[in-house]
Amino acid sequence: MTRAELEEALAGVLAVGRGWALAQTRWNAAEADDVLQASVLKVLDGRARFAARSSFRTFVFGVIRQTARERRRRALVRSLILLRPGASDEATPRASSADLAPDARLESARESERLIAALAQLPARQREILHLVFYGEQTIEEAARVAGVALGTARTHYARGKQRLRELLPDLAPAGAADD
Amino acid sequence: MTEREDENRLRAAFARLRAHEARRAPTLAQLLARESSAVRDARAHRPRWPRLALPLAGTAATGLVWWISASAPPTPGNRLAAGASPQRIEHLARLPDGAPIALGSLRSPTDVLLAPPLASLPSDFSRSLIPAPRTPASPRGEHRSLSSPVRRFSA
Repeated sequence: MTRAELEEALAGVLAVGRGWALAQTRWNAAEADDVLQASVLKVLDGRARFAARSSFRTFVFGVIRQTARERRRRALVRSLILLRPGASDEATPRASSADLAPDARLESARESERLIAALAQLPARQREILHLVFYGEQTIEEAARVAGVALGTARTHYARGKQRLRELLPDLAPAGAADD
Repeated sequence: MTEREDENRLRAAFARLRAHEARRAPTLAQLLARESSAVRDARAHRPRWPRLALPLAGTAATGLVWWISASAPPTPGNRLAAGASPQRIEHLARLPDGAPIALGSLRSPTDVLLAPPLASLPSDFSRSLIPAPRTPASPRGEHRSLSSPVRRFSA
């Protein structure tokens, strides 16, 4: 792919890629943007190369996941070296829904906050698979590839994660409610 | 409620979350132009560590970095101490004018940064960083993960 083609393809997955970066950083927006920026630069300068063995979106999700893991590992090493757990990279809570858009969007924002909080209670693998499938609109097979697990394992995480979310969020609004 | 209805509710909730977050997503141009948090910290000249911008004293191959201890305040004109700690360098790059830059760690929380004058860096230099050769691994193998090459990913 040429640089222009890469940029066009990246622009098309940027919003959903940022959501994935947020999920990888426990919804720390500043950290997510760092991860997303580093991932985009990897793709543009060829350190991560798209080989067309999957969709471009799946490829970018994989790059973002690996970049986030590298940053977490570095932060862990630093905190071990410096004997300061968490150091300066500790995730900060995202802004509450109270400072988000008013009125019509408020209920949706509250629901989003509840969904994020519920996801945080899930094991990491379940959280990843559900996010990739529902937020990233990936198939379970694609999600398994990004998460680096077997398809059967991904299906198990998917089913268990859904069940747990249903228990945590029994009163979710039906489809079509409060959509933009 | 059927499982299908339940799943549709979940799908709809995620769709609303996606729409909500999409409003905050940067454009590609904004993302490329933004400063990373490491660069912002360095520019602010805060002694917040461990991610600070350090100027290289020699070539990237030597792995020498300039750094200064807390005993010498970070004011212009201070003498810099040269330390060989390539294992602490996390990212090597060059500024548009060719000057080498390393993003790395200082030796202690009280260490401070003395740069080339950070204020003289172009405002969008993070966008212009060009990866430079990696430093050799520490002879003793310490902190190797900080100096290991970026793993490639392809799919």
